[in-house]
Amino acid sequence: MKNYARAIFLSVSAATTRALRFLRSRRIARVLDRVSFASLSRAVDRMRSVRIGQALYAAGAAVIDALRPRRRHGKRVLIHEILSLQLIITAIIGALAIAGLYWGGQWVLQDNYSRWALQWTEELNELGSPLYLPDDAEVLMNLETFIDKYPEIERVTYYREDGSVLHSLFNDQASHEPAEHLDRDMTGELISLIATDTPYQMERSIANVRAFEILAPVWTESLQGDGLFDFDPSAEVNHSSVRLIGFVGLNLDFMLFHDRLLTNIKIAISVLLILLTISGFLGRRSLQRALSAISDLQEPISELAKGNLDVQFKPAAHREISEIVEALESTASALGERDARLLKLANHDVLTGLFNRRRLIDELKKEIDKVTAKETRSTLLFIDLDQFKYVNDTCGHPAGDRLIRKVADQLKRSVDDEGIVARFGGDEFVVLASGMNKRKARKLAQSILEDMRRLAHIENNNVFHVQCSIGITMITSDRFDHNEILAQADIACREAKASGRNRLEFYNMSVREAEKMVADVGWMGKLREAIDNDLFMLRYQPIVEIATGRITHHEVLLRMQGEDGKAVAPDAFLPAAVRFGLMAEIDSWVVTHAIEALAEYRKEQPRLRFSINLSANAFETEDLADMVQVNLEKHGVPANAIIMEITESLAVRHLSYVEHQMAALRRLGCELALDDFGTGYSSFGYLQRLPMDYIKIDGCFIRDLVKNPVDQKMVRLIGEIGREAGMKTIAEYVKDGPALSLLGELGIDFAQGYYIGRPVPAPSDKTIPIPISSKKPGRSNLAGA
Amino acid sequence: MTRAELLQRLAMRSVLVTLLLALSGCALLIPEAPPPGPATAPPPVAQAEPAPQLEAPPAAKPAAAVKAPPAPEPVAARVAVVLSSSLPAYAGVANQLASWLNDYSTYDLDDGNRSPRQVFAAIAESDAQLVVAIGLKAAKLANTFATVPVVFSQVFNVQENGLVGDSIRGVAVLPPMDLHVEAWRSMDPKVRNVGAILGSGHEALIAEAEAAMAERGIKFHHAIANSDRETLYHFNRLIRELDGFLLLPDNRILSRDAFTEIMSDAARHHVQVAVFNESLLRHGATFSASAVDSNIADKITLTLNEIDKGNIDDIAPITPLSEIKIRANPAMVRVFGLDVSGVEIDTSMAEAQ
Repeated sequence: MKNYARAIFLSVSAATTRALRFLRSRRIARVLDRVSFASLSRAVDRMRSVRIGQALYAAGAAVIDALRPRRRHGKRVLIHEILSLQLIITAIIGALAIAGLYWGGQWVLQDNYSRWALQWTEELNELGSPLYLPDDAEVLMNLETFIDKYPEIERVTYYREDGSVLHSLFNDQASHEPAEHLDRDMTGELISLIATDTPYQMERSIANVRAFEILAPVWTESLQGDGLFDFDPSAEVNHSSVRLIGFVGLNLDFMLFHDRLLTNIKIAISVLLILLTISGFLGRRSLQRALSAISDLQEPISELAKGNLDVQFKPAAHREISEIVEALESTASALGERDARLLKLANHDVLTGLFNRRRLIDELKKEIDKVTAKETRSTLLFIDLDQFKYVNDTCGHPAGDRLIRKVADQLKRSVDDEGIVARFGGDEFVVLASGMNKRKARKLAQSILEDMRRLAHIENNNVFHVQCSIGITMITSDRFDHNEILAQADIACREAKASGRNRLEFYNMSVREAEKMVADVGWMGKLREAIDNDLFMLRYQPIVEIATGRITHHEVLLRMQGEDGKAVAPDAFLPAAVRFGLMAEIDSWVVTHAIEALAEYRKEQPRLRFSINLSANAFETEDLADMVQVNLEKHGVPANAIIMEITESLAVRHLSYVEHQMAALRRLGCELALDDFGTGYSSFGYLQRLPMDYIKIDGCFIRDLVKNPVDQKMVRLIGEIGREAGMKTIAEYVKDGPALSLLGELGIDFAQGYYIGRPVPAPSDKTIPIPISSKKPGRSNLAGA
Repeated sequence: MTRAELLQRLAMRSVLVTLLLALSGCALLIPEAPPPGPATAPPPVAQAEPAPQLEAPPAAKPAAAVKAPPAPEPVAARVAVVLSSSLPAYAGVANQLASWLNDYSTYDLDDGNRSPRQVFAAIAESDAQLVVAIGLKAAKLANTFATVPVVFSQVFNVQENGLVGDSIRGVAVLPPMDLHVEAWRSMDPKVRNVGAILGSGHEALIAEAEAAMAERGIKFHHAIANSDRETLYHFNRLIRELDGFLLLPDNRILSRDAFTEIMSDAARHHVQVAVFNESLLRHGATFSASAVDSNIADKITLTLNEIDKGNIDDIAPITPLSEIKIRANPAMVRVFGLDVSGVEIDTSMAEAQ
C-alpha cells in the first residue's frame, strides 16, 4: 500500500513538476505565477530521498502557499482569489478522481479476485473429487494442467476427512511451501459450512488485496428414496444425505495480474491528470478572459484615484461592466468639470475674474525661471488705486466692488496680450509682462496710467475718476525671488504714491527701502518657519464682567517665538503675513491650537471660554465653520465656549463673506464679537446686519476715558446701542481702576486691559477686585457729565 | 463428395432400409407373449447374481400404447398388499393389482396407524398366504417380518438391499431395456453412443443395456460412481463421446445439483437425455421411458399365481416387465429432429410451450 501511494505520488509530482517547467518555459505561467515552483520541486526531490510523510507535508505546504490569495496593498485580489478557487476545485476534482480510480480499482480487483478464486475452488473441488478414490494418475495430471493455466494459483491442497494432507500441487512459479495439517477446530469450522450459501472460508487482507487463501469442505450428496419415484428437481426441499470426504485449500497470489492492472491505473491517472491540467489551464484562461473586463478596470480606476481625469476606459463587452465604465466615465467627466471649476476658483479672483495672488506667484516663479534660462528680461507692474478708499467709504462697498471690476476690465484691455493681469489685494493689481525691457515697461505703464485717467466711474450720480500709482521692477535673473520682486514693485508703487500719485516709478532701491524689503522678506521666511515648526505661541488675556468681577472668558492672543526666545507681538509680523498671503494658514493654526488648549484647560476650569481673533482671510475661506466644527468635535469642546472676533473694518469691508460665515458659526453655537468698534466706519446700520453677541469698544475711546468727556459720551452711546441691539459691550485697554469704575457707570458689561490682567501663558479664573464705584452706577465721576 | 463416397452412402442406406423392413416384418410375425408360468426363463445375464428375466418386446415399433399381453388369471390365495407409502407410483400398481386379487388386504406403512411390526403381525393373523410389497421399505420389512412368500415391486437397488432369498421374488422397476433402446433408435436412428452412470450392484442392468444397444449398433458407455461428485466427474469425461445419456434412478449417486448440471451440460453438448420419470421432461430431458403400472401388476399376478402353485423355485428373482411407456419432450424433439410417429408426446408440455 505504501509503495502504491508512493508510486502514485511520484507520478503526480513528476507530472506537476514537468507541467510547471513547461509553463514557465513558455512564459505562460502567469496563470500559475503564484505557485511556488521551487517549493514544489524541493518537495519532490525530498520525497525521493526521505520519508513520504515529510515530502507530502512539504508539498502540501507549497500548494497551500501557492493557493493562498495574494494581497496587493494589504488587500485580497478578487481575480487571484477566483483563479485560486478554480485551481483548488480542479485539484480537489483531480484528487477525488485519482482516489476514486485507485480505491475503486482496488475494490473491483479484489471483487474479481474473489470471484475467480471461488470459481477455481469449485472447479478444483470437482476436478479433485476422484482423488478420494483409489489412485488415478489422470486426475493429478488434469489438476496440474489446470493450475498450470493459472499462474495465480500458488498451491492447491486436498485434505482428507481428518484434516491430513492428501495431495498438494504447486505452481511452478510459486514457492513450494508444504501445506500443513488442518487442525480440529478448522475442520470443524469448515464442516459447518457444508451445504450453506457460502461453503468456503476466504482469508484476504485489505492491505494486500492480491493474496487469498481459501479453504472449502469437499462433500458428496445423494438423494433419498430408492427409485427416485418422487424426485422433483424443482422442489424446494429434496431429501438428501450429505457425506464429508475431505477439504480443498487454495493459495492464490494475483501479483502479475495486479501489477499489470496497477500499471494501467497509473497510466489512466496520468492521462486524467493531463486532462485535468489541460482543462484547468483552459478553464483558467477562460476565467481570466471573462474577468479581464474587471481587471482592465483596475489601472484606469487607479489612475482615476490618483487624480488623472483624462484616463481612458476600454470598451467593455459585458453589460454590467459597460454600465460601470459609463458610470466611471461620467464620474471622471464630472470630476474634471469640478476640478476645472475649482481650479478657476483657486487661481482666479472671484470679484474680477483676474488671476489671484496665488496664481500670480506661480506665474511669477515661472517667469523668473524663464528669464534666467533664456537670459531675457521681464517686468512686473504693481498698481495701487488712488483714492479708492474714498469711493468705498462714500458710496459703500458694493460701489467699491463695482469700481474694482471696472478697473480690472480696463487693465485687461490696456495690457491686452502683452502680459497677465492679477488682483493682488483689495485695490492692488499686478501686471506681469514677459519679454519686456525697461522702455517697453515704461510705455505700458504710461498707457495704463493714461487709460486709467480716462476711466470715469459713475456712482449715485457722482462721477469718480480713479487714478492709480504704478511701481515697476525689472526681472532680469533669479537673483531675487518672487517675494523680493513683489516687494520691489510694491516699494516702487509706494514711492510713486509718495511722489504725488497718478504716476509710475521704477524700483530704485534706497537704503531705507532696501532694509524694509529685507525685513519684510525676512519676516516672510520666519513666518513660514513658524507655521511649519509650530513656533507660534498663544497667550490669554482675561475679560472680566464688571458687575461681578468674575472672569468670564479670555481673549486668545498670538505671539511668535523670536530668535532670542522672546515672544514677538503680532504687530511685528502680521503685516508681512497679510502681504505674503500667510494669514489663512495662521488663522487655521490659531483656531486649531486654541481649541486644543481650551479642551485641556477646561479639564481644570470647566467654565473656561476663549475669544479667538480671526483675520479677513479666515472668513474668505469657505470651510471656516467646518474647520471649527471638526476641531470642536475632535477635542470635545462645546461650541458655546468659543467666541470668534473680527474687526469692524474687516467685517464691513468683506460683508458678503462675513455674513455667510458668521451665520454658519452661529449655527454651530459659537458666539461672535465685533472687534475695534468705533475706529472704522462705525456704521450702526451694520450692527443690525451682523449677528454679533459682543461689541468690543476700541481702545482709543478708553485710554483717556476718565479725562475725556467726548470719549465718555461715545462709550455711553455705544453701550446703550449695544444694549438696545441685544449685544454685550467689552471695553479694551482698561489700564486703571478709575477707568474700570467709570466703565461700570457707563453701563459697559465687560472690561479687558492690563488693569484686569496682562496676557499670560495660562488662563486663570481668579476673580478681579472691582472698585466699588463701578458697581454703583448712581455715583458718577464722569468728566463733564 | 466423391463418387465412391456417394456409392458407399447409398449402400449403407439400402442396408438400413432392408434391415428396418425385416424388423417390421419380424415384429408382425412375433406371437403374443405366452402366459406367465413356470415357463422357461431366460438365463441370467450376469453371473454374479441371478439376472432378471427379459421379456420379448411386445412390438417391433415401440409405441405408447403397446399391444397388451394376455390377461393373467386372478389369484385365488389370500394376499396382503403392503405399500411403503401412498406415492402414486406405489398406489397405481396397487390399484391395478386389486383387480386380479380375489381376497386381499392392503396396508400402508406410511399411514401412521400402526408400526411395521404391528402391520406384519396383523398380516400373520389374517392368514394371508402371500405378501405383495410395493416399494423398498415395504419390501425390506416384508423380507424381514413376513412368514409367507413375498413378491416385491418398485425397487431399484435390489442387490444392495438384500432382497434376494428363497421366499422372495421381485418384479422389475424399469421397462425392458430392449424396448427402451428400440424406441430410442426409432426416434433417432443416428444415435451411436449412449452412456449411463450407475452405482454398484447393477451389473445385470448394464449387461442388459449393453446387449440391447449392441444389437442395434449402439455403443454403450458406462461408469460406476460412488457419489454425485463422481457422477459429475464421469459425466464430464463421457459427455464428449455421447449422442445420448441414459439417466437411471440410482438415488445413491445423484443429487439435485448433479442432476441440474447433467441436464445443462447435456444441453450444452447437444446430447439427448433419456429419463426414468415423465416429470423430468420439463427439466430438459429428451424423452422418458417408464414402466406401465398395469404391466407391473400383471407380472406380480403371474408371480403370485406361480408361487401359489408351488413353483417358486422356478421363478427368477426379478421378473422383467414387458411393456414400456415413452413420452417425448416436444421442444427437444424439435431440437434433435426426432421422429416421434407412434410416440406419445407430452401434451401438457406442448401446451405449456
